[in-house]
Amino acid sequence: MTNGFQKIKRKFKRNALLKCSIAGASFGILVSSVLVFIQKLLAIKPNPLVYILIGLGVACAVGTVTYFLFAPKDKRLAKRLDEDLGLDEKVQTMLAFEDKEGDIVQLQRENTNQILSETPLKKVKTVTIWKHIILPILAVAMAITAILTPLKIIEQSPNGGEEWALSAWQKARLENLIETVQDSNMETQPKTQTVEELESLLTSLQTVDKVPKMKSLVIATIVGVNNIENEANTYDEIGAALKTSERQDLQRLGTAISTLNGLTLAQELEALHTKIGAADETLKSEAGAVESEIRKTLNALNVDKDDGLYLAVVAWTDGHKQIVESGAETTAEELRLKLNEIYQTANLSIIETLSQQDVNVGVFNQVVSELMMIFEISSSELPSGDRPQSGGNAGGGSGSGNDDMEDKPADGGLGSGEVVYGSDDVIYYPDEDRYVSYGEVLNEFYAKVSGQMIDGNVSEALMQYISDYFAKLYNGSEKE
Amino acid sequence: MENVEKVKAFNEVIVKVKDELRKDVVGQEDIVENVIIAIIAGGNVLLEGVPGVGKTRLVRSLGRVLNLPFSRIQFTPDLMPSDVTGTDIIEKDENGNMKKVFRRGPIFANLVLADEINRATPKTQSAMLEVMQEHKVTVANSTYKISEPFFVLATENPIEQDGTYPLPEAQMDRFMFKLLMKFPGNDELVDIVKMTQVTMEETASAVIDGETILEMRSIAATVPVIDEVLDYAIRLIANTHPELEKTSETAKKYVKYGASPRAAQALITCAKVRALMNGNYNVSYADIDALAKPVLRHRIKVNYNAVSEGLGVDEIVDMLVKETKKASK
Repeated sequence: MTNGFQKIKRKFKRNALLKCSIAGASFGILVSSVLVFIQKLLAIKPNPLVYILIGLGVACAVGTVTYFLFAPKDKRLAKRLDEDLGLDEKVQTMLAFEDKEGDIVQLQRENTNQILSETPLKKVKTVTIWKHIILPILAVAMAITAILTPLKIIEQSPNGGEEWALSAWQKARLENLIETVQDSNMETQPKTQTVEELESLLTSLQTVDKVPKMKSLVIATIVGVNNIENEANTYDEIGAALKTSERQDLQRLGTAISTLNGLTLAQELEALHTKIGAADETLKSEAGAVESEIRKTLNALNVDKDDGLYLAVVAWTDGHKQIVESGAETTAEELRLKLNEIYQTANLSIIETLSQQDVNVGVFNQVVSELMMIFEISSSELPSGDRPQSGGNAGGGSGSGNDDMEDKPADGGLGSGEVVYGSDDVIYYPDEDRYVSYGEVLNEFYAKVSGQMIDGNVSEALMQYISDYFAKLYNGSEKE
Repeated sequence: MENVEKVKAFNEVIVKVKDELRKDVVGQEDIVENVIIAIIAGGNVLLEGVPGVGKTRLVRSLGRVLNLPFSRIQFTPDLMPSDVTGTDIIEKDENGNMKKVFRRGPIFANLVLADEINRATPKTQSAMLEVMQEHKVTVANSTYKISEPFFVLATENPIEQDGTYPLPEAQMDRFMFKLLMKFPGNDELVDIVKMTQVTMEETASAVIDGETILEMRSIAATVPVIDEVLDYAIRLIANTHPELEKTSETAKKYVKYGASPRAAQALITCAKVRALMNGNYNVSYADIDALAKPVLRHRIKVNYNAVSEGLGVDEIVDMLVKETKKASK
């Protein structure tokens, strides 16, 4: 290849690089901007890193492809030079015969090379600016549009959306909901906060006249209620922390807590208690092992340290520590008594606080469901993290907000298979000063009641009613 | 090295030849250039022009400049083939014995002017054209070679067509070029009159010789042609044929018969010479375009459509060139 031609070819290569860089960068910016714009219209918050990566990828791909398109091919360049410089096919001939020998061919080569060498590079036109400036302008314009477009632009439609007004029925249902929350057994602080949210919503809705505005207020209230729940309830975090333990018994305990399954929780506590106290010789060491393992899992936990469930678990752990630290003079019987005391306390406190959180979950779910029903909000309109979830059951019946429920609600009472019992709730059994499943004491209740019915002056109708009631609870009903 | 010098000198030689010819021939630059091209390319030329425009003078001057023997044959209806080629005659030698001697005809020259060839009978025309093609004369089983370079400039008078025998198309194809010698312009006429008032004699002197012409011919043959230009020339010839599947619209509409493959050969051979004459070392599209009319005008037969629309063969060739160029892009 001759020097003159090489010199010009290098200029075209530089031009091709410039063109493909402009094309690549422009396409990269354009594609990223379009995606950001679309996401903003769909009320999805864009992730800058993702779009930078997409833009870079597109830029590289487009740049590579356009380089191969624009990169100077010798034959095409030769034709271009002949046309632009009026060389009467000299360059094309030089290229076509570059490997040939002969006096004229050599002369032709030298002559053409000389012409090309003497041709100033300025005379060889390459970049046509106006053709290549349109795309970058378009890309920058799109980028500016995407950046300046606010998120959730659909909420601010030009006319404000469809007309709306708070109906009497909606007002009544909302007021009823507020009353329900106030009368519920939810913990005081979250209850107060939830009532405040609902009352604020009621006040705001009385002046709203457009559907989009109404929906945004209701959705904001739902998000607010969910935030209150997340702060009030700690079962999920505590259960998850225990599930990170290396001990399977503690993992099962964590699962029971995170799924609000009181029955399983009671069973696991009992099993652990039995295991620790299996032998006098190993009681201390077992207690110590459990204590250290629980502390390890709770160390990384980030919950309110005044939370009831947290305090109950910590107290139970501290109890085991006391056993470990007891002196050599403490007898085995004293240790066992201490262990029983710890177990009794934990059984009560942990299950009680878990039940309370389950009640909280139930009320929160009811609030969200009611709001969605009253104001016709669909799940897809809510932010993904605030959509209603299926519940667990600490007492067996009310729902909770966690997804990792591993245990199905246990069957209560007697019987099995397709037979469904009245209630799987855990109830406090005063005779034994602990929480037990309802089915466990059903037999005893039935015996007491039926005995009194036989001995006492009770009408036939009432006797029949009570008898039917207990029959249903005792024998169960076939699930349809 | 010697060849390179000769190649570089090609253009200068041509310039010298033209300059010498200008001493005797006024104007007619295109004709002079094309005639020189034809001589170097090894072809013959059919020259159409009214009487008195300088056809004979051109060939005679050419003979002087090229230092080649020149002869003129005036074709008439009674001219016999033997009047052109020569014939055997019986002669007495010094001893008084009769012997047969071949008396060469006027065809035995390097440059031959066949004036008004269309006035001779087909038989005489054939004899002439056979020599043009084969560069040899066969008389009574004896063959006599014509010395190279051999060039025939045949003329036709476009007026006074009565009693003439137009050359058949197959014979026309043997001419490399058909050139149209037009009546000189005013300025040229003034120069002609001034010059010939001084002397009617040709004053040009020899610049090159026959051997140089042959060398130039072999050098020109090596001029490179790229495939694209070659394809363009081939396509131009193909576009003159209306019967081909892929042909030009012009040919379909205006052409009865197209050019033969000899036209393609002539086009490329002459394009190479032209390139060198202009100081170029390769054939270009411009060379092909410039030679399209001289090569094709006598090889294409136009149909009645062209005649009825008043389109001459030159206009048809221009349209063909335009269409071929457009298709190439």
